[in-house]
Amino acid sequence: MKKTARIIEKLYIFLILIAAIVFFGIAAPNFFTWLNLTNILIQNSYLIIATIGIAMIMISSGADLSVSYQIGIVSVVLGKLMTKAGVGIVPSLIIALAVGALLGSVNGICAIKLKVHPMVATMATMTIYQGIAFVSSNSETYFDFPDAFKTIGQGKIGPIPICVILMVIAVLVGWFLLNKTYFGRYVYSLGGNEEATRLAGVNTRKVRMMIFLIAGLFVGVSAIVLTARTGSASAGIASDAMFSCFTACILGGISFAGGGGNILNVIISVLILGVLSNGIQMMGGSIYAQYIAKGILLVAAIAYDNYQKARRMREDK
Amino acid sequence: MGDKTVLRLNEVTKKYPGVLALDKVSLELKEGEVHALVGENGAGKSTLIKCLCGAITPDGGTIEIGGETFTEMTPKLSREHGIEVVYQELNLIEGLTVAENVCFGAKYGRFVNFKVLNQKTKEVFDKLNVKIDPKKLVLELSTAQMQLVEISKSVSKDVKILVLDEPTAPLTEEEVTLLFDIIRTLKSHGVAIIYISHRLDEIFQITDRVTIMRDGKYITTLNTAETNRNELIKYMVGRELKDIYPKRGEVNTEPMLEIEGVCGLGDENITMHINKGEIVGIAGLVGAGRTELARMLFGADKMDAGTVKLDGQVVKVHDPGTAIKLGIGLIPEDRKHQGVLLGFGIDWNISLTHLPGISKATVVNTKTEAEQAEEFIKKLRIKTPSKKQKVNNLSGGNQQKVVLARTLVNDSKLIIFDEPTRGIDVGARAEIYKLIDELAKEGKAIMMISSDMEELIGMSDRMYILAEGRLTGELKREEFTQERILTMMSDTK
Repeated sequence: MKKTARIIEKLYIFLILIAAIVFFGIAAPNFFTWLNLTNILIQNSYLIIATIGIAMIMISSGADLSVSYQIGIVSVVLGKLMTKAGVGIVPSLIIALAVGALLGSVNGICAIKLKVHPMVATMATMTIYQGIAFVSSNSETYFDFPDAFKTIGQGKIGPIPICVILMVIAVLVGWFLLNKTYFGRYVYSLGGNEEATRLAGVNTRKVRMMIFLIAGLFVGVSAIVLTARTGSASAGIASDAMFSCFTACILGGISFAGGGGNILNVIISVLILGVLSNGIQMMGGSIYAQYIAKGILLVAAIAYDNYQKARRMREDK
Repeated sequence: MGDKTVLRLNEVTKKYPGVLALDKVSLELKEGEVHALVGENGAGKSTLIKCLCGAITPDGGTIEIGGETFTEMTPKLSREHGIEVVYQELNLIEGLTVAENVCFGAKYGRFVNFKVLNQKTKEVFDKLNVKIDPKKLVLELSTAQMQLVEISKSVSKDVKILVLDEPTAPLTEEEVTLLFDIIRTLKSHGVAIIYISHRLDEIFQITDRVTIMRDGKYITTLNTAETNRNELIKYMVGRELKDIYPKRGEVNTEPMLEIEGVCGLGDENITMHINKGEIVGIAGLVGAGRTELARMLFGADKMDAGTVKLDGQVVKVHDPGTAIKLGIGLIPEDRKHQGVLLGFGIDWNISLTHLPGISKATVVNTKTEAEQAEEFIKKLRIKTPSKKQKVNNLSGGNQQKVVLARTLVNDSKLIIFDEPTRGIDVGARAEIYKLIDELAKEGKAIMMISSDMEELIGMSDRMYILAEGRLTGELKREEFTQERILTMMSDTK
């Protein structure tokens, strides 16, 4: 009994994904096709890349509410550079990544200097970024990207879409950083107990800053993939991203308090959300029906997080 | 102490999966007595108290109280019978006034009537001879005053049996005297008190009888007047501890640490030195600036002025990272919040201080990490099933050893212990003392901050005394007397 419980606990996230796929496979016609399943992967690749960055922040007991409009700003930057200013693809990409890193760093500086919880600091920057994204683009949508750029989001190498390859690389990099390097260790330690980590000689401010900067880079890559895939750039291109990233992190077992969580579970959680959206769409549900389902999922994830915490506390006693 | 029995626990048993937390424990409490409950950590004291106040349900045995017999208690039932528990962690609401806290849960009319609350609180305070203004906010009080408020809160509810769980842990010697006066007052009103403490000298000062528990079992009950320290320790640990303090020989006179004119965080102009291989005690009341000094030396807080020389070299310590590199180690006073990362394994905790050093191209070498963990588990005799064991599941003494391991792995020259044995039971204490002695013999300089007078006198080769941020004295081992130290500790301007 106990053994089964432990296996379920380890694999619960996988089981939910499989259950969701099976459910929609039966309930929705055309869901269980190769084309649709690869579509889900392609559509969610940008979210997975962004979520890796957000997961790092959340493991270190931080939060980032501004991710939607970080993507928005980077997307607008790409649009302006390539479709208006005529800047080449490579310089545009480099500038886009730099802007992502910059936006992440601003979040980091605000959280550290204001000495407030990053949740509060990024709530402020979220609004600022939203404003900047819309003002700088005049609420315009940019089209006419060079084909070579769109290949990043739409092209394939053999049978595999390039954006999925980029996503896999991002996952590997994220996993490697968190699980193999000492930077990753610091991320977990910071979430476990910041003061104890500082007294262990770790420069906690620098580490927190690095986390936000690296998260900004992931968000930058995410924005590039999304802009290239849709072939358009606009301020509100990813306005739902924040909710998805956050829900995926909680569902994937990163507790609010930080200090724990497995990046692979988080990524599977993004896919669960993706399957949910797609499945509901296939069954003829509207975007608003998807909101309801995702909201319920978040409530369930939080409840499960609390349950886990209470159980752990009982065990420790 | 009267002859009337107010509480009788008969063969109370509590099982947890894999552990028999209470194995047929019996206890008899008489009216107006102070009854000590002693035992090492894990002896089952807390579990017994939880059965008594209804927090958990015993698996067997009975609880007789006020002429009735119960097989289990509920929090409500226990309260109705006048049982109140003051826990180690205080349960006050800091943003409310003293009176609101004392009268918490009692209803005087539909709205808060401060006049009535203040009046009622004043009555309780007068009865106990407590001098705190009921109108003050709790957050303005010192820890000792909060403790008094907590006790008054229990007393305001017509208490018959009062349980005090480690009441003196946060208190200074002076404040302990105050607490003891209150205990005597309550006693004269016929309140029976169960007194849990690790500090044996207190038990001899205040209690009438003492019950010893070990490994969830009842061992014996003795009249305090008819027993002694060694007998208690023998029953508690199940073997005789000869002398828990190591014998110290002559020490080197070559200085390892020399500080001059250190100021900051309320400390003024502190000058002292610690020789190689020397254990130097730092005595003082809470608020004397001892922890502050340690934190400045370690770079955890900013030093305003002063020079620090380590092994003859002038050093500037800006942050803990620099301190560790220079060879300064700190074992902080609040082990659970500042020392260890509770949710992580022993190996992770030990490697945290020097991860870049055991990494190649930023990748942590887990083999080296595992070897280090194993080495220190062996060297420091850390009791654990595995090196991956979460520190949360270790006992206080073993957690302390994990923090110590971090200092040793970096080969510190100076190790600062801030309250090294707080909350650690007698058996494990001797172990920690032995380790400190071994480290000193290796030539390391040891600074030991402690509020435990016995420990300071037992361990130190030399002692500095602080009061209100100033150095008020220095004593050599042969000059140590409790009175002398106390006088210097309370040498205020």
